[in-house]
Amino acid sequence: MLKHILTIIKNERRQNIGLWIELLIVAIFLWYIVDNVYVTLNNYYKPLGFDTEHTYIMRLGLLNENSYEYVKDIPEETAVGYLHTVLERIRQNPIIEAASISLNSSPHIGSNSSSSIYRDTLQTRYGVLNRTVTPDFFRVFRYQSINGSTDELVQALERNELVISPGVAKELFKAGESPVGKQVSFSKGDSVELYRVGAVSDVVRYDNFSSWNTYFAQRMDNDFLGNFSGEWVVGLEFCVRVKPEEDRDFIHRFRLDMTQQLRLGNYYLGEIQSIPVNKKVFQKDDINNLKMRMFVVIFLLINIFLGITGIFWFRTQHRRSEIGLRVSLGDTPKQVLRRYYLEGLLLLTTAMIPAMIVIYILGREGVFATYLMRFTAGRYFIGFIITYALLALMIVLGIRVPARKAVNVPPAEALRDE
Amino acid sequence: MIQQYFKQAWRLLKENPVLSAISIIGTALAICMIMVIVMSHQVKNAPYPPETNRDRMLYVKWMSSREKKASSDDRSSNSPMGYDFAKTCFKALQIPEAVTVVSVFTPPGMVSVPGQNTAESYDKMLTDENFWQVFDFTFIDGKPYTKADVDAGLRKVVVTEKIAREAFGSTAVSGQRILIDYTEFTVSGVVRDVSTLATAAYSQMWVPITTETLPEGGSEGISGACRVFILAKNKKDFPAIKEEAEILRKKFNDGTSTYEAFYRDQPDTHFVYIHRKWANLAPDMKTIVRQSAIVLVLLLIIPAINLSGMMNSRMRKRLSELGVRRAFGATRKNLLSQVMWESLLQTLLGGALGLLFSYVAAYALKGIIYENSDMAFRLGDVTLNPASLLSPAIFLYALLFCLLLNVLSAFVPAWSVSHKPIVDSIHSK
Repeated sequence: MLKHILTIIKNERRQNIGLWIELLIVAIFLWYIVDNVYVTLNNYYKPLGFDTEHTYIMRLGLLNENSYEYVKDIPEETAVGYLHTVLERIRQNPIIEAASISLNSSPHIGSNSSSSIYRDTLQTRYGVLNRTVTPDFFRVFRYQSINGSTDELVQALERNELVISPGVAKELFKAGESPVGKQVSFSKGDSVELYRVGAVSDVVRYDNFSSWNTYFAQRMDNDFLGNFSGEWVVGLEFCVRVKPEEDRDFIHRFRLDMTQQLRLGNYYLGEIQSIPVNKKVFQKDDINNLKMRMFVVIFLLINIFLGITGIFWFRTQHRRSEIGLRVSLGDTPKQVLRRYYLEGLLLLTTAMIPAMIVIYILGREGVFATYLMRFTAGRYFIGFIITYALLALMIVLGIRVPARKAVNVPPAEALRDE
Repeated sequence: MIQQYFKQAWRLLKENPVLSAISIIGTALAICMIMVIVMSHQVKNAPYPPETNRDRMLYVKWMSSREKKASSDDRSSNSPMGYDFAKTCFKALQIPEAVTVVSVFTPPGMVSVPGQNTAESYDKMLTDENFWQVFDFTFIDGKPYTKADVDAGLRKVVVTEKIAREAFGSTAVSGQRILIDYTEFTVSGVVRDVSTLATAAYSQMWVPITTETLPEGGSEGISGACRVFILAKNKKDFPAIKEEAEILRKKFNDGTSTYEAFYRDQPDTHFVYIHRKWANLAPDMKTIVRQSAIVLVLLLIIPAINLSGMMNSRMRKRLSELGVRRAFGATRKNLLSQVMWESLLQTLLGGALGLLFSYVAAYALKGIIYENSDMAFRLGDVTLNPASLLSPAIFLYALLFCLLLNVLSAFVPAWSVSHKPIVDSIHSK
C-alpha cells in the first residue's frame, strides 16, 4: 500500500513539489520557533525560589533644600536612626507581615550589583548577585534554606554571617563539604577581610526568563545605611509583605495611614509599587516575545492548513471517479479517507527528513542559543516531535475537509462521471 | 466586457465557495501579516507628536568610561552621563539645530496643591530649555520655561493635562502654585498627555534641570544621570555631527587625569537607539537587520507558495473550460484578460478582508505591538489609537504584492493553455 501511495505522490509530483517545499521551509522554521518556545517555557516553569505574592516595594524621598519643611544639617547618625525608625514604624503597622530594607535586591526591578567570591585560590567564575539586606528580607520574599527553613537564613544574617546559594557553594567547596562555618572573602590577597558562611539557601533564580541563580546575602549594617542616608536614599528599597487578608487597595490605604508617620527629618514616603505588577512589567518584553512567537506559529499553521486544503480539494475532486471505483469495489469511505491521510503524512515525512538534517547541521554549528539549555538529542527530538505533531494535525484537518465531501458521494454517481 | 468578466468571476467564486473562501482568506492573512509587521515597525519609528522629528534626531542613551591605560573595554563603567559632561561634550556642538540634556531614572514626584493633605505620584523629568525646541509639544495653556529660568534654577513646571485636571480640576492653571515633593513650584504651562510610546520625550511633568542636585556618578563626572537628544538641521548633517562630537570627546579626555569617555558608536539614529538596550554593549545592528529580514522573507514566502499553489490548482481544473472557450473563438488576449480580472476580483475581496483582519489584529495584539518593559514602569498610558498606524500606502503595497502573486500563479497556467493545441486543452482533465 505504501508503494501504491508513493506512486500516487510521484504522479502528482508537479503539484506536490510546491507543497513539499512549503512543508520543508515551514518545518525548519517551525522547529526553530517551537524549540525556542519549548526552551523558554521549560525554564519559565522551574521554581523561582521566592514568592512575590502580596509584596510591595516603597522608597523614601529626600526633601529639596528649597522645601519649606527642609531641616538643615541633620547628622548622619540621626539620619540612620530615622531610617531604622521608618522600618520599625512600617513593621508595626498591623496590616504588614514583614518588612526589610535592601539595596538592588528587590526582584523584578532590574538593578543589580554583583561581585566575585574568593576562597583561598578558588574564585567564582561569574559575578554573584549581591543581596545586601536586613535579615527580614528572607521573610518578605520567603527565601528558604536547603533544609526548607526561612528562619535559618534570618538567623545567619542576624549573627552577621553570609548566606550563599548552592551555585556558589558548588564552585567554592568540594562535593560533600559543608560550607557552613567556613570563611570566604570578596577579594584576593592575604590580608583581606574574611566572612563566615552561616547558611546555604535553596536555589533562587533571577526571574522567569533567566537562568542566573547564584547569589550571596550579607547584612545591611549602620555604616552601609549611613552611605545611603543622603541623596542616595531613594536607592534603598523598603520591601514589605502584606497580610493576605489585608491586601486590597494597599497602596492607597497605606499612604493615608502612614504618610504623616513616615515624615521624619527630611525623609518622606515616596513611590509605592506592587511587586507582582513590577514583575509583569519587567518581564513584558520577554512575554511579548513569547506571545509573538506563538502568534507566528499559529499564522504558519493556518497557512499550512489552507495550503493543504486548497491542494487536496482539487485533488479529491479530480479523483472522484477513482474514489467511486474504490468504494464500489469494497473499500469503505473511511479506508479511502485513510489513504489520503497517509498520502499527506508521507509527504510530510519526506519533507521532515531534510529538515532534520538541516537543523542538525545548524545545531552543530552553534546557531541556536544554548544559554538556557544545551543542544542535546532530547531538545532536538522534542522539538521535532512537537513540530511533526502540529504539522500532521494541520494536514489531517486540511485533507479531511475536502476529502470527506468527495468520499461521501454515492459511488454510482462518481462512476457515472467516468 | 469588463462587467461580463466580473459577472463570470463572481459566478466562479460562488460555484466553489469553500475553495474560494480559502484563497480569499489566504490572501487576507498574507496582507494582515504584512500590515502587523509594518505596524510594529511604525510604532517604534514613525514620527508622531511630540517626537515629530525622529528622522532628524540623534540619541546618546548611555555613556561609557574606562581608565586611560586600559586597552580594551573589559573594565568599563557604563551608565547615563553626568550633566556637566553632557554640557561640555554635547551641548557645545555647533552643527545641530538644538541639543537637549534630560535626566533619566528620576523617581516620580509627589504632587499636591498647597493646603491639601494627600499627594499623588507622577512621572517627573528634568530638562533644559532646548527640550521644548527638540520636541514638539502642544501647549493647552501657558508656555515652556526659558533659558533664563533654567539658568536661574527657577522652580517652574510644565505639567500634562492629566495632572492639571487631577490636582486643580481644570487645565487653565498656568501661574498657579503646586507642590512637588513638598517643594513649591509655579505651573508654567500645560501640555497634552504624552503617550508612553514616545520613549524619549515622555513624562507627566517637566522641571528645569537646575532645580535639583543631580546625583553625580564617578569617573570624573563622565557618568551621572543624564541623556542627550540632538536635533539636526538635516539628516545629511549626521556624519558631521558625529565628527564634531568626536572632537569634543577627545578634548574632554585630554583634560581628565584617570578616566576617559568613549561612546560605543553613539550618537545613534532613531532606529539604532530603539535597539540599544544595554549600557555596556552596542547593539549588533547587522544581526538585528538580518534576522528581521529573514523573518520577513519567510513570512512572505509561506503565503506566497500557498497562494500560487491554490491558484494553480484552480486553473488546472479549468483547463478544459479554457479550451472550449478557445474552440469557440476566444482570442488569447481574451482568455488572459479574463483570468486577470478574475484574480483581481479575488485579490480585492481578499484585500478587503485583510484590511478587516488588520484592524482586528491592531487591537487584539495591542499589548504585544505597543508595550515594552522600558515604558511599562511608567504611570502614563499608551494614548495612541492603534488603527492610526494602518497606513494606506503600506496597505496598497501589500495588496499589490498579493495581486502580483495571484495574477502570476493564474497567468502561467492560462498562458500555457493558450499556447497548447486546443484539442489537448479540451481533453485535459
